[in-house]
Amino acid sequence: MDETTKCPRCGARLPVDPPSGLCPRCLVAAGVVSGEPTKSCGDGAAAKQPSSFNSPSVEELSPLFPQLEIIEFLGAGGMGAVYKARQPGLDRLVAVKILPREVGDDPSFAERFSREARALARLSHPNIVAIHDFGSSEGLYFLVMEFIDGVNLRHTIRSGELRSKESLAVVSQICDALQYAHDEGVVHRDIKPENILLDKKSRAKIADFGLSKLLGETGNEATLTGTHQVMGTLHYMAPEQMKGTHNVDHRADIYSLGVVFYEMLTGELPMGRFEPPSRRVQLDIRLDEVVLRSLEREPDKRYQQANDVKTDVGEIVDHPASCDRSAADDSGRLAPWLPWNAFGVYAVCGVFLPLFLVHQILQRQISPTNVLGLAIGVSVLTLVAWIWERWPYDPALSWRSKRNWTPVLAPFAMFFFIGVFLDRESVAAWYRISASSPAEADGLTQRIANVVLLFSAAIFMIVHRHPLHDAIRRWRSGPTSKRSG
Amino acid sequence: MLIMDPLLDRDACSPSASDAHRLASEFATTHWSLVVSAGSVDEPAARRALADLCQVYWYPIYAYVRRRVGARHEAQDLTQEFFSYLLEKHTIAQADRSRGRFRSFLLTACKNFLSNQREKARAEKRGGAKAVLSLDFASGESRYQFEPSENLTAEKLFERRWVLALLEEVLERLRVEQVEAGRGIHFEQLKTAITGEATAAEYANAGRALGISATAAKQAGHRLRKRYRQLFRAEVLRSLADESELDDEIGTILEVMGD
Repeated sequence: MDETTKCPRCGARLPVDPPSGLCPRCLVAAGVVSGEPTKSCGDGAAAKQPSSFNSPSVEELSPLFPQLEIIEFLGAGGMGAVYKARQPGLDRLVAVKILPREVGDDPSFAERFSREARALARLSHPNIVAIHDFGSSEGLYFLVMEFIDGVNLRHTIRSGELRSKESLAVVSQICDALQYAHDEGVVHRDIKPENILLDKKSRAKIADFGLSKLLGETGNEATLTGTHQVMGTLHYMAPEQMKGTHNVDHRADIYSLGVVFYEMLTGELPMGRFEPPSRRVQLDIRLDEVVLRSLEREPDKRYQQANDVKTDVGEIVDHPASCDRSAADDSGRLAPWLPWNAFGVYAVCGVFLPLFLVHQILQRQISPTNVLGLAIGVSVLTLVAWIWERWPYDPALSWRSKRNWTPVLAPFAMFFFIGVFLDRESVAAWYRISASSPAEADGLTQRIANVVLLFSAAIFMIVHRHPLHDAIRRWRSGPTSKRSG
Repeated sequence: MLIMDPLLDRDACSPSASDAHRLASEFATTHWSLVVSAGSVDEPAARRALADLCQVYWYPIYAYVRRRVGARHEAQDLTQEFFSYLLEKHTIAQADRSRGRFRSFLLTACKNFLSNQREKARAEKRGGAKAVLSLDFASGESRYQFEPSENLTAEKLFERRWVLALLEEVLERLRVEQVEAGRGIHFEQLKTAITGEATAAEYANAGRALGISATAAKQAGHRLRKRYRQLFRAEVLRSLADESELDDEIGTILEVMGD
C-alpha cells in the first residue's frame, strides 16, 4: 500500500497495515464518541436496550403539543429529534426539539436540558438560533426554536460549493455570535459544522448550545458533566477539552471554530501534523496565520476573543493581497499567473519614479538604456513576486526558513547595480559637460548618492508592495507563534 | 469487583446495564486487574491472563526493542527473553498499583529489562530463551520494515503500536463475534460504518450485497458501531487495574493518535 495513503474521512495518514483496512484515528474516535443519530437505534436488536431512543412519529407527537401543528420530522442527532411545526396563532414556523423520553427519568438529564434552554434563552442574536419556549409535556422534554429554512454547514462543505469568500463570511458571522455568547458568559463547547446552519440568504446561525457551560454556574458543573466525560465531537474538540480538564473556557470554542474554518477552506480536518491551509489549497497565505492561531494547542497562545478572529479575517477581506480562489475543491482552478498589482507598483516605483528622480534631481539625461534596464528589472521583479506568492508558507518554521527571501532582497540588489550602472554610464558625459567645475565632479559622492536614493526607492516600493508589507503586519500583530506537535 | 459505571455511556444509545455486566464477566477472566491483585503469576488464572495480554500486545514491544537495539535477531531474542522473564519471574509484584496500567507496566518492565541486559555481559551468548509465547517474528519484522523512521522515538512508536494492536484486537473480537453469529459477511460489508457515518450510497451498496434494504443496512451498521464501542471500552478496561482510570487512559489514547 502506498505510504502516503490518507484517510478520506479525517485526512490522517494511514499506517501501512491499518486494522481491517480502517483508519486507526477514526476507530479511536468511534470508540469514544457516539456520533450516531439516535433515530437509527429504533428497532431490532437495539430495542433490547431500554435506553435507546425511538423518535416519536408526527402522529404520536401531535396530541402532546395542542398549541402546535407538527408538520414533519426533520432529523435526529446528539440528544434529541427535531420536528418542523407551525404556531397557528402567530402563523410562524418553529422547530421543536424533543429529548428521548427515557432521559426524563434521569434528574441530571432534565437539569442539563433546562440549563440548555436557559442558556439559549439568554441569547438573542441574529446568528444564534433563537429559543421561543421550553418545558415538558407528559414527561417529554422539548424546546421550541426558531425554524431555519436551509442546510447545515456539513452539507455545504460536502457539496463542495463553498468558496473561500463565503467561508470567510460564515466565519465572521460565527465570530459575531460567539463573541456575543461569550460576553453573556455562555460557552458553546460543541461548535462543529452540524451545529452551524445556513439559511437561504447564507446567514449563519449557531444551533445547539446544548453542551454549553454557564461560567457563572461553576459550582455544580462537575456534577452535571462528570469530571472526565468527554463531550462534544472529538475532531472539533480543543485539546484541553479532550483531556477532560475543568479549565475549558470560551477559548475552546475558538479552537473548534479554527477546525471548522480549516475544514471549510481545505475540505479536510486538521489532524496531527497538518499543513497550513494555503498548502492544501490556493488561498491568501495570511489566512494561515488566522487559522493556525485559532488552532494553537495552548489556549493562551490562541486568539483570546472571537472578535479578534473576525478583525483579522476582515482585514484580509478588505485588503486582498491576491485574488479569490476556490475552497474545498480547488482542482482545475489556478490563480492568475501574473500578480498585476505587483506589476503596477513595480512599474511605477521601479521605472517612473527612479527616472523622474534621476532626471529632476540629478539633472541627468535619461538614455534608452536606462529605460530598458529598468523595464527589464521590473519584469524580473514581477516574476519574482509571482514566485513569492507560489512559495509554500509554513508558519511552523523559523522566520528565516519559512520564506523565500529572494523577492525581498532582489529590489535592493537590482537598484544597487542600476545605481552603479547609471553612474558609470553618465560619468563620462558628466565630465564632458561640467569639465569647467571639476570640484563638483566627485564620482564617488555621486555614486553613493545614487545608491542611497535608489535604495530609498527600493524600500518605498517594498513597503507598499505586499511581501515585506505582509511580514511587517505579521510582526506588528505579535510574534509568529509556533505550533507545537 | 468491578464498578461498571465507566462502561455505561451517558447518552441515548448507551449499552444496557445487562450488556455491561455481560461484557464485564467476559473480560474479568483476562483482566489486568486480576494479575495485579494476584501480585504474582503463580496463580494459573493470573498467568493465563498475563499471557493472553502479552499475546495481544507483543508487537508494540517488539517494535520498541527493535528500535532501541537495532539488530533484528538480537531484538527477537530479547523480546522472547523479555516475555519469558515477565511470565516466569515474580516481577508482577513490582507493578505499582497506583500506576496500574498494563501499558505503562509493560513499557517500564521492558526498559528495565533492556538496561539490565545491557549491564549483563554483552559477551554472554544470547539465544536459547525458552519460548513462552508463540510470536510470529517473521511477520513482525516485515511489519517493522514499514514503520515510519522519521522522528519517532522508541517510546512513541511503542505507544502508537499499542493503540493499533488494541484496535486490531477489538476489531478481531468483533469480527469473530459476528462470524459466530453467522453475520461475517455483514461485518465485511459494514465495517466502514464503524468509523463514522457511511454515505447513503455506501449503505445502498452494502445492502445490495447483503440482500437487505439500505435502511436495514444502515441500522445494521449502527448496531455494529455500537457493539464496536462497547468492545473498545471493554478492551481498554481490560488493560487497566482500576476502572477509575478508564477515562484517563482513553484520553492518553486520544493524545497518542492525535499527534
